[in-house]
Amino acid sequence: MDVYISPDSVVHFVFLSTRKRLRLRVTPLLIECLEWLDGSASVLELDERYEARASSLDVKHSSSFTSFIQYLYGKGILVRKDWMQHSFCPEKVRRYSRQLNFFLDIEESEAAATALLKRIMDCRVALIGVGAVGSWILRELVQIGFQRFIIVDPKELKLTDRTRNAFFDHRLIGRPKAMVAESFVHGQVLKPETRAVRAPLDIDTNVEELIGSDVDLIINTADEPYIGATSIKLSRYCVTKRLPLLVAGGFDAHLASLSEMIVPGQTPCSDCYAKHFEETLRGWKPISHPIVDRRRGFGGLPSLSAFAASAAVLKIVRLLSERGGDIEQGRGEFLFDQYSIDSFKVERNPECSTCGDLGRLRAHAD
Amino acid sequence: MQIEFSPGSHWLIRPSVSVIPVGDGVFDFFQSSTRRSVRFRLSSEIASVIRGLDGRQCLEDICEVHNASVPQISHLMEALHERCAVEPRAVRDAIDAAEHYRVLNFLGDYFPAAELFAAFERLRSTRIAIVGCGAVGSWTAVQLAHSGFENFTLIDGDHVEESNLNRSIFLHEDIGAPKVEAIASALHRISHRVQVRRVREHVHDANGIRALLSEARPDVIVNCADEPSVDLTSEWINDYSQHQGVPYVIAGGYNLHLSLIGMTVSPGVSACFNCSRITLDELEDKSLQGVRRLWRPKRNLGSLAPLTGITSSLATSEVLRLAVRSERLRPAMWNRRGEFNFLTNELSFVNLPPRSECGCTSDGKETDKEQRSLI
Repeated sequence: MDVYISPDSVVHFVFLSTRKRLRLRVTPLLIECLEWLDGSASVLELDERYEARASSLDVKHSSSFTSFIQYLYGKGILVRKDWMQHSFCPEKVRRYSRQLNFFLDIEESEAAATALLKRIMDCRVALIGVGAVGSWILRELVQIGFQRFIIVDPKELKLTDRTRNAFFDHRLIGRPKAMVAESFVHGQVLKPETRAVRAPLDIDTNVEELIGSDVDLIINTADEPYIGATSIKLSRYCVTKRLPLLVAGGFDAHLASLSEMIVPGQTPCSDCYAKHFEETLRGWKPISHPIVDRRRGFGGLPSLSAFAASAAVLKIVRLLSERGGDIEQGRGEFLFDQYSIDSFKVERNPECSTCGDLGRLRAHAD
Repeated sequence: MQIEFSPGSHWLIRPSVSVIPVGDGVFDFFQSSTRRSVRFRLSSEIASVIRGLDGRQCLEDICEVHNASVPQISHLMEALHERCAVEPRAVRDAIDAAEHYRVLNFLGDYFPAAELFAAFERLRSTRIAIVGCGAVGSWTAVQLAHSGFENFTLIDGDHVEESNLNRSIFLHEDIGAPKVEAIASALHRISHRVQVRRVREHVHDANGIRALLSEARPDVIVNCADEPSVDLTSEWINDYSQHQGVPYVIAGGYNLHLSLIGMTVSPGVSACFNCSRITLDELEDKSLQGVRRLWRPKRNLGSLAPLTGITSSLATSEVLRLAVRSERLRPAMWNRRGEFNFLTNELSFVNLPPRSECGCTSDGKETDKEQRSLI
């Protein structure tokens, strides 16, 4: 946080991580005292120093310095000097202190910032697909503190994964990707809980048998046979279980999508999206492509995979955050040409055969 | 690469290009990787040829089947090739067989088949110097190696600490190791062809950085050094860049490493760092003019891995654009810098044009230098 003081005794508190601002008009004495707030003295000591200073200047004041401190604390401007140590062991504080500071800006209180990191550490994630986007998502999730994973992928690491897989290591070519990813998680997180599943997600796969019933979030990056098919299957499962589903990667230009967060009853489900695009793209009918097998014909850059994965992980952080804003309902993609973001809103379909009832139930409850 | 448009040549619609009839005989050739398109009006015979352009038959044979004119088709292939919609069969086979086929397919939206492999070769052989190997620097290095870059100089005097793990590419096993060694190991895991010069030194002043860069002789510099401050390191690198004609990317470090996307500077072509400072001073927040900033030492600032990922992804893309050295794919961050908003998923940019009062050569007068820098 930057603190600026203008000549008319207005203090500007600028939250640098989020650019949020708060302006306060305060007395010149309180402005002088702001510089004391460096964690070296207790609140009691500061209050005594404040009273002494007021007395020496012969300044009358109606409230104590403690109440000013309490006000700033309530706004998330002040924190206790050792606030992280109250909730986390030294190793976690060393690893996550800068992230906790970022969460403090978003959540605006020590308790909420702490709770967000704990939710991250407790969250059980099923990741379907460890490819161009999935591998980068997993790598970032591990960095920010996720440690409980079910990792599903049927394939082995191969030479051409060099250009896109975050876990590529030429010494590991031929190993199952799910196991390579699991091994990475075990090497990095403090308390790993993982299960690697070397299996595909097919049309007739029993999702619960594949990932188990003990899951808080599913991430789908599986684009075979194609992302639309795997997402509809998982979305229908998530609607019945009331589980959030993140669909990342795999769209047509597939390596720089901003991903879709599906929260049953709140956002469109994959069937809503499919219906929406069936209608909006009705007039967009490419000719049948003369090349039948185009699997090696599409482009991608590692930097676009990293962008897509980062955008996806930000959505997960916002989902778990108390003040991360509304869950976006729509689709977006990053366009490489001029680094623009093309996004548009998609509404829930009230007649959706998969999630329409959830909306009616919710409206009834409201 | 020599490309032929002769009757005996074999051509196909690029697999990532969709052809959409939009009415009145007009067809949209849509590049799905980059969302760009070009439109042509085609006769019904020519359109029939396009529908069958799979590279198996030569142009003469397809024309015979659809009763189309061979010279007309050859001419159309030249036009579509220039706009990256079609490619010869031999080039498709070479891309399919290549390890970096995805990168080649992507670059194929910008470079016609005749120029594609030369562009990738320029990328592969570009000498990169990364100054500062922290969060953004480590991510950028790894993404560049995945993209096919093979020649790196890494400059950083720090060692990996546990607090680096939540936003950098470093692993738990790297703790205690020099950062340049840890990144070199990561790059060698990606490819044993990668060559890395490790410079375990802190950057203290303009002379020091000039000496290090003069020894490395990079083609592109990536500045990720924020000690003592990114403004100072950018000023030093700008000085070297303007004298040596070497382009650079300011990758991170502005405003606390969050998601700021720095500008790309090509000496003699785009605004330099000093130009940007003149503009930024003018744009300084009016609401904070005339105010005093409270001095607060030892701050521990916020950071988040995905924001590092976004900053580094754009820095990597900018390096790639510089490395291919072509008007067909120019840097997107010339004369501007940007910021990604965590709360809204929006990218915003500030224009930072060349400033004549700066005294650098970016006012377009030195066109010979422009050509040298770009081509």
